[in-house]
Amino acid sequence: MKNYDEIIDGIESISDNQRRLKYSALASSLPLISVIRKLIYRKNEGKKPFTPEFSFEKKVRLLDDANNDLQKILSAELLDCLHAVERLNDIRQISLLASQEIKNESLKGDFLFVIRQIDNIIVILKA
Amino acid sequence: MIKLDDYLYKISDKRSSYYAGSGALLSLVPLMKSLENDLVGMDESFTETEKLIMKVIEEDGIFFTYSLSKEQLSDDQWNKVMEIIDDYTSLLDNLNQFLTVTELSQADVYIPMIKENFVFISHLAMMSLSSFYEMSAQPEEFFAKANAMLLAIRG
Repeated sequence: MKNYDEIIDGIESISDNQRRLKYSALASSLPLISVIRKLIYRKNEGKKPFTPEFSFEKKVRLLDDANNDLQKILSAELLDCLHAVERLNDIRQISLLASQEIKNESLKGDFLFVIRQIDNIIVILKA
Repeated sequence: MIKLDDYLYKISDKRSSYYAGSGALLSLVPLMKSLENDLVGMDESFTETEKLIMKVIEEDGIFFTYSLSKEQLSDDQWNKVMEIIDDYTSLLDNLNQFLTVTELSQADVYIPMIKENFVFISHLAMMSLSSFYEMSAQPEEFFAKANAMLLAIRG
């Protein structure tokens, strides 16, 4: 599986504009997943952790699985956009559920930013 | 030089001083790499912008941490704050330039993602900046630099 440096290095060699756009958009999702992972950990270890309904441990596992899958998709010869969209939707759903448990406007804004960017990436992948 | 892969890990690490701003900036890197192939004749601007992105990824956490300080900032800390403001200003100016050029090109499909990123980074920078305004004993140069950053945010 390629690491993030190798994924980024590979972008310039993609000659087809549409394919390069999709690949780079998907590659931009990995830092966003890192952001979500950190935010939900901080929230869960703060004064008001997630409710049991959120199932924190399960969500972290889902997030890590989605991250691994996306890295695998970015390491493959052909970009599996359908599979990528499914995984992005999983991450979107986790971010949305997490944001609904957050009162702090600034922290909520971080989650909503990630959700909007995932929506933008999905639009590009589906085109 | 820190590898991009290390940044991915640091941003996800709950104990690190890399926050959402660094994550947003890192997510710009693949987009800029790709856009570089679409926009010809802008190699120098891309090289400069990529360097700035990497620098501000490092600085974003410091900027945020200093903005939360309850103690009066030292001269060295104010100098660092002003250096970061300058870097943010240059980066936002460059991103604005890319947005303008991209809007006029066939690569306009990149705009929603870059614009979203620009708005988010600007918002975070402004939040920190407003805390610095509320502090006491800012150096005189701070106000001019802060004003330049606000102009860059307005585009």
